[in-house]
Amino acid sequence: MLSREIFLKKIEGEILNNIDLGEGMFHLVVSAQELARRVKPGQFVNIKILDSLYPFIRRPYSVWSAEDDVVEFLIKVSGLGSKLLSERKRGKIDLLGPLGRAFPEPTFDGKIVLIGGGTGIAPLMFYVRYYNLNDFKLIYGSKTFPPDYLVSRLGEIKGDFLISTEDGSYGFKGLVVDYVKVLIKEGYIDPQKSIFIICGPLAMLKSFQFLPPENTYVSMEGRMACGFGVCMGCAVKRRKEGGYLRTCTDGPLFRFSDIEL
Amino acid sequence: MNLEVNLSGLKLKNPFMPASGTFAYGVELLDHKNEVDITEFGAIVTKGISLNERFGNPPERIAEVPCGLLNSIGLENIGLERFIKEKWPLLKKIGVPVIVNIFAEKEDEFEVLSEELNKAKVHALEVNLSCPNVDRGGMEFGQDKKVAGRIVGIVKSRFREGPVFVKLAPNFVNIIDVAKECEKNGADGLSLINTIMGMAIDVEKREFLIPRGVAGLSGPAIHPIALYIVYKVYQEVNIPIIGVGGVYDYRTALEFLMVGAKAVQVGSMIFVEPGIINKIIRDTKDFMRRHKIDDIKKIIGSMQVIKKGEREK
Repeated sequence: MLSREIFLKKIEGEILNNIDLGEGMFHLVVSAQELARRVKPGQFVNIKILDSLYPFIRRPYSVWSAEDDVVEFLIKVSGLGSKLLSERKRGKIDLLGPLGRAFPEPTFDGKIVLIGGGTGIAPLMFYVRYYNLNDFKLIYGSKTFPPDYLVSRLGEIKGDFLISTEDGSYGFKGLVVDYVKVLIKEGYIDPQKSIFIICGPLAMLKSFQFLPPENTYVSMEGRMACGFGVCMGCAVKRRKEGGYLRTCTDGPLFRFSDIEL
Repeated sequence: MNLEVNLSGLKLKNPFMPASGTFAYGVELLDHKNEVDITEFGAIVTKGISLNERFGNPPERIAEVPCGLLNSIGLENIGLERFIKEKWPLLKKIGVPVIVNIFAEKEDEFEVLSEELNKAKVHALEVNLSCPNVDRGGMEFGQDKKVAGRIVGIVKSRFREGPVFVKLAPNFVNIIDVAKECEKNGADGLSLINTIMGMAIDVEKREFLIPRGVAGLSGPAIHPIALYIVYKVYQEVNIPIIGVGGVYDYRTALEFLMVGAKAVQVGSMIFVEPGIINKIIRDTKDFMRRHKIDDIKKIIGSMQVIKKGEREK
């Protein structure tokens, strides 16, 4: 059975805005009342890129923000689907969702540390806004100085916000994982007393396996065909019992102690 | 308007059903009637069930190719015992005929599967012969017509609750010969076709998109191939054919009926449009109304250039 949070419904949205932010990222804004009201942080929407047979399958994107009737996405151009989606400036858009399980409510026994890489920052920003959090640390890892619009949105965040860039154009120079290691060494983060939620590319998630597995959640983004639990495509290796979990219906957020990367 | 078809004793209120492996165990979407109304389906086809639980293949399992999909799920399933205990009680309550897809790596596993599913009184079986046969060095059962025929005999002698359909793939085999051999050994119908073997490479990374390399190709890309195979086999056998491969709307579904299929399975398109089968049923009714066709049987086999032998209409 699907989780109760999953609401399998095709929703016709309307593209309100679709802006190139630079650095290969774009900001898609759609009007979709029912989706905006139902979606929770961490959930994703499976988007039909074009009304055509190619691209054939939908593309899953997690939500950046949902307010009133408007849903926003922060997407990186990474292949044919996202490329074509970045070029859609107006018109109707076929959405399926919200899919996946929402991030757990922020009632943890420990400080919340959110780590985002690239567009992986999107669901984390939705999370702090949705629950109106102000006592947390958000660490953003970027390749270079982020697009201005993203910087301005990040500026609205109430908690502690830190940034690393791989080219050193802003904040700590290097990979976000190295920055987090420094922050731990300096005593700014106590891994034993923190809850980590990490979103980003697989290689980045893998690099954080030194964190306490019981306290660390990672958001997975493996390839999937359906997004609602029938294709069995988005397998994530289960740690103890063997076999696989599914990103779409068991995730996308998993505790490190439950999975093997 | 009559959409009923009879597949060797299995009565369906319409010819449309999901393809094995694209609708999980058939019960996952029961709570989502607003989008997918399973009670309207002609039948339900489960994902492949094996004697023992199988974990399936490591990721990535899915890759998109033009107008299609490569998959290498690896026949992940919960195994016979859990299927009968956990899924069958829910499935049989839906009120739609249930076709359980089975596969095995060894011939004797087919014996147990057929016997136990007979005891459970499932409505029909679909035998997947595209799994590698461990006893014969990994060659697929369906690639040797003698072996295929023997498996059909094994299943037929043990499963008496309903018809036994055989699902065949067109990989490295004369599918007409295998189809005839299955018919000779008592198969009650054929599901044509299973996925076609394929592969794709990320040339920049120099990696296969599916780590194992080979995968099953499905989706609209394979539809014309599947259609031609159904067309050809229809002329050679007298048992019902279920057309499967790349159906994405009522037109592609009706094409199968027109070349002789008595029923149609919808596969990968379910991933894109979960409610596609309901839509195909609605659109087919509309088609029949527009063309003043009162019985869907009048469509079946209506597009035949050459026809050999006698055939019951």
